[in-house]
Amino acid sequence: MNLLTLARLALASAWNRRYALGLTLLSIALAAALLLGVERLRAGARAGFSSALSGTDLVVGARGSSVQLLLYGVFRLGEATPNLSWASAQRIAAHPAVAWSVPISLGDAHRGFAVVGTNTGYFRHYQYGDGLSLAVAQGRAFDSLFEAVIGAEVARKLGYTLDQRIVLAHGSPEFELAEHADKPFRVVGILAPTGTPVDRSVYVSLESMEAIHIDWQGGMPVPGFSVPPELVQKFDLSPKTITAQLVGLKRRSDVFALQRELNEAPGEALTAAMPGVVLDQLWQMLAIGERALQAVSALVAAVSLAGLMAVILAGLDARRRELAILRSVGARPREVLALLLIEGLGITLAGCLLGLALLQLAVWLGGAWLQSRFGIGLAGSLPGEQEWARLCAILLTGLLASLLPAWRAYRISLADGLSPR
Amino acid sequence: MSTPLVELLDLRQRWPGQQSDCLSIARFALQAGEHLFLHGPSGAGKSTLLSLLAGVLRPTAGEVHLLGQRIDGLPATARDRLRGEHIGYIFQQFNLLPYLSVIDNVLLPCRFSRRRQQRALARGASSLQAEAERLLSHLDLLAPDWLRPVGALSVGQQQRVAAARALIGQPELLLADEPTSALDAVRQQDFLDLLLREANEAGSTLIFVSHDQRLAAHFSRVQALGDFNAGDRA
Repeated sequence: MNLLTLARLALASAWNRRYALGLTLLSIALAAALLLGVERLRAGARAGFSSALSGTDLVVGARGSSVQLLLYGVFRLGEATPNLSWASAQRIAAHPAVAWSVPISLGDAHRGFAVVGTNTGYFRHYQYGDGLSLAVAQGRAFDSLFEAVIGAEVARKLGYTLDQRIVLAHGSPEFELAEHADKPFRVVGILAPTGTPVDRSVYVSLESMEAIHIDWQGGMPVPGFSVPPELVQKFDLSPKTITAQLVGLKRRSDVFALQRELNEAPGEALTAAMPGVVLDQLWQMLAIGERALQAVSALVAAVSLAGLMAVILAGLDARRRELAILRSVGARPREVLALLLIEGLGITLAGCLLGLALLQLAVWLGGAWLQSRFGIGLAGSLPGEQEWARLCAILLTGLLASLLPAWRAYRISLADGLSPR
Repeated sequence: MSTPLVELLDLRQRWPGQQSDCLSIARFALQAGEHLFLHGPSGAGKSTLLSLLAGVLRPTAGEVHLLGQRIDGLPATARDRLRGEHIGYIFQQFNLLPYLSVIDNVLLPCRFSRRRQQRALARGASSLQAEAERLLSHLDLLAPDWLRPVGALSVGQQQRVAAARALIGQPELLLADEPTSALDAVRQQDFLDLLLREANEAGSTLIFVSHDQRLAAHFSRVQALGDFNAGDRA
């Protein structure tokens, strides 16, 4: 019997069992979507982590661990790093290879969110993900003292809108010490969500940062001395130190040279770190989390493939008689085998495609939400190498499972198969 | 005398767990072209005998010869092959594929056996389809029913589809296992007449098994299973 006739017979037989097969198809599709989804989530989490900062060629801080510098300076996590002097920062900004530089000054917090002292260059130059720039969703960037721009998550969690009055506190987000109650800020802008630490920060100008600390010393207000907000302008508000500096170069190829130059510069001891490299190091440190995700996805794979096997085997008994009839009219083993393989291959292939489509649909529907909520960007594009491997595993399992009925058809005696039970 | 078309020698068949043989036949032979009416009470082993002849079952002991070839020792796939090429089997339960049309069911043996295909075309039909249609109309199944799924037919119609499937490609041996048990008396006789006429035209040897002796009239040879079976008489 030629393949075309066999395929027609397989199709007719499958159509006869279309409801049961529909369920099988659905369960294969769900298994495929789940398997691929977990993998895509893992890849997305990794990519999201390493794309919290892009477009920045160097992060400069005082001499210390570059991992710590990046964790604190970009993710606002971990221990505070020592500051670098404003003079050094200005020297770097004026370096001929430097296209732009943005200062970052940490140390204050507002209701659990880090306050970042910076300048408006931050909103222009900070990039994340695949070269995405920050956008002000409502209002504008700060342009004078005591104005604040807040990240999307700050606005959502605290329910802030424009013109909200907020009071900053001295200390880290986890441990706020004393409030700068005498100098409240006004929210003038809210950033669009990015899914990066940017969403969890409050931005003020470096001068504002300086102004609220003008009557402070050693992290505490100086007793009996207070400068009212109206008068702070009379003081010199240029910062003495900053936490870190984001640097963009005119030519990216200069990055190694400048990094060496800064690290070896005489005078103040500096650390210049390449974000991409350090973020990869960081991810390596967090590899245990990734391995946990991989373990989960392996478990999901095992369970869904076992389920797939079970569904196919459940349909086996229904075909006992049918296969016996085919044998009784002269079908050879390889023809019976071909019939079952055509069906098994067809249904797993269709299931994989349907699963892929389901996943694309889920990414399309929920991708933006996932990006803004968890900072995990799911590539909606073609499956990656890992995903192809998984698809192949599903196909193989489907094929193996569909071979079992063939084996059974020849194990049970023809006489048993021909008489209805 | 020429080699018999089928021959059983010293055959014994015993089911697992049974104390005695259900079949014990010293010799049974059928010449080409004979039409045998085989009767006996239910449970006497008539269906088992057909299964042995068709190579569906293997005997506990003894020899089964088909077309001069000993088949009881052949592997299952070889017996499947021989059955597909040389035997048309009308099962008691018809064993049609419910999801195929009438025509496609009839054509199944030709799909799997090149020999049956060639012999079907050798009848002078322009195509396999035409030969199937010719058989169906001879069996009083008319054009409107040909493309319907067999599941939609009445029992009597399914019976005739099963007969057409067994007859197509002129197999040397036709085995019919109580094919009329689901029909009323008038239809039984009609069906039998059609079957005999077709078997004659195709030159097939026929073994027709029934417990109902009233149908025996048109057969060249009538035998009770008990006449030559020494096993397990209740």
